[in-house]
Amino acid sequence: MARDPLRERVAAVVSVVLGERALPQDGAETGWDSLQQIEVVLAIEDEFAVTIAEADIPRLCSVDDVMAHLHGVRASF
Amino acid sequence: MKERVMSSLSTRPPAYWRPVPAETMASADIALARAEWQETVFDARPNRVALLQLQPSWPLRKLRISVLRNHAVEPVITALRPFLAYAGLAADITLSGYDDSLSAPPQLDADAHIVWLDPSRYAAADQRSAGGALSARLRELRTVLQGPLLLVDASQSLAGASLLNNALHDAASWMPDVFVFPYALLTAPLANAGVETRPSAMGTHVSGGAALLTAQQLGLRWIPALIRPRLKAVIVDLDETIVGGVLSEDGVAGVITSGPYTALREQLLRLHEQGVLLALVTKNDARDVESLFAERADLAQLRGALVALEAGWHDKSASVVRVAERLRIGMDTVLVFDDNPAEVAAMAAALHGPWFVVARTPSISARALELHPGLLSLRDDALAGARSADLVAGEQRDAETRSAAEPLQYLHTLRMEAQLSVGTAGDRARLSELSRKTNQFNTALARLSETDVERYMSSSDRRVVSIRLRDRLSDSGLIGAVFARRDDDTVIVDEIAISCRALGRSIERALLGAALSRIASELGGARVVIPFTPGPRNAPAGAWLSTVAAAPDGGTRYVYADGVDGPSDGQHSPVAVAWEC
Repeated sequence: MARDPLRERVAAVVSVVLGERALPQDGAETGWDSLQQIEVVLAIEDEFAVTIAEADIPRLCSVDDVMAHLHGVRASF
Repeated sequence: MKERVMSSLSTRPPAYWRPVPAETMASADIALARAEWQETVFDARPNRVALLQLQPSWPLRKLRISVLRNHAVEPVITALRPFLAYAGLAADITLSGYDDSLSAPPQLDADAHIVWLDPSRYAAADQRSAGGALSARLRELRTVLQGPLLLVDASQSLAGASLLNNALHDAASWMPDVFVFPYALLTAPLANAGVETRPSAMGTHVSGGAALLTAQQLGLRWIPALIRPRLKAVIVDLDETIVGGVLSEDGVAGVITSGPYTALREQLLRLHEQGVLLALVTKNDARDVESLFAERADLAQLRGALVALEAGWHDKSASVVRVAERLRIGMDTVLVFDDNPAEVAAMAAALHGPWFVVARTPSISARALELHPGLLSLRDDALAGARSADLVAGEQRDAETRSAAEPLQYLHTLRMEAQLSVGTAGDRARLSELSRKTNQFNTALARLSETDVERYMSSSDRRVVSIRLRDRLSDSGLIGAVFARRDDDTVIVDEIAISCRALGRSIERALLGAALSRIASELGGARVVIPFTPGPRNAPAGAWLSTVAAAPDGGTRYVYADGVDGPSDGQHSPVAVAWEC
């Protein structure tokens, strides 16, 4: 599988935030509860200098979701 | 808003939550490892991911913190751990559910409690009655909770903030061990960016940026201040630390004192005004250093604030030891700034006690002076700055005593006057500080909190005596405390604490004789017993006890006999003792 720098970066942020609760490699599984989701959102906003709209927050339940959101707000990601 | 159940964040520790045995890590390694964190933890705009990646390799002291809240404080709490770790602490933090009425504190016996309310949740209620109910509830909480309470005030942009903040500040103004965390002031520079615009999704009005600044302040400054005594001195290097360049190479005219060095000096002077002692230790020719301070006008104010200056080419560790001895302070109450990591490592290895900052840039040093654990004073102390002047006077006193043909006669010429009083509420914070900070003349090392002190002030079977001292050279302020209680027919002296600034003047016998006599008279005991707890540095207290009391059990419980009916050497004492009522 080709290396995906964005996926690696998002997964790294999630891993740092969740510590030992890090996600499986495929990133498809929902890996966080609602409080952890707040932590992930804040860290993603810090790391990528973006602001995630309130309506989008509940949709960010996996690394894939986060990647899709980032691609949506900025094509250069 | 959905209620969330009480949770304990300690159940999911991050990877770095592992104890490191102290003996496995040398002091030099710890000093340098902590230095690697400086840029991240002192950052003016902390980064969450960078913070969470930090993993301490030094021992952490565990403590328990209870948070009573009515909104999501997790964005702050989850960023708190690296800041606490820098301070040498690891917190087991328990959160209440969303509890508008503050009815269910999650842990009554925590080491510290944080109360954090979002006032906008009360917006639908009658605000005045909510303010009154909050005041009443805070009074109740103070009586049932052990440990200090930190009340977080609210941003003025939130509905109901004024009433909430008034109730919090009123509580802190008179309740023991209750303090206000100035969230509103801290986050004011963020303006709108400090307010979370998605409160429904995030569960709070605290923005991500505000959460990190709050965690930084709580973890580095406020929580350490709640549980540990304050540091007493900051010792700074000269070259590339408080001035840019190297004095021996660049000369008096060549070193840089402007720009970020100005902000650094201002921060040092602020600490001086708050009672932190400042000293300079530098490897330079002493005459060059004095020339620098004499010729560079912008350094004059700092020179005036330095209570000790050690310049020369000798070992810096020895210089730091000499400064600590002159100031009569323990090495663990000292914070050292030096730009050279090798010097820091050498000092840390030799001294085993001080805290260190590697002064890589003046801006980092200024931030460290603002944020470093142990430098915050929880109470405003108008006399704090005067203690530096008292120390300088103490050096003059010591030198003149040593050179006097008749030292006792010289002490009489100082015209010392002591004023004793049965403790009043205004002395509460200082009396607690004396109990917690004195090491040399402290009989029990009881480390009494403000709440403990309050008990000695308000109970009919307890007394606390405050001792103030002045002479022709300086006003030393409140330098001594005696805490006692009646137990059957015995007066138990739970603690005697005297500031090191008052030692060496042959006044202990007269002052404590007068205090113990008054206490024995008021409490009515048949005998006075003074328990003694030996510690690493309180031999002077033990030595005094052995001269005025007998210890049938071999030295842990003294029966006081000297001067219960009045100080036995009153007419010969160099100090005049008077009672304030």
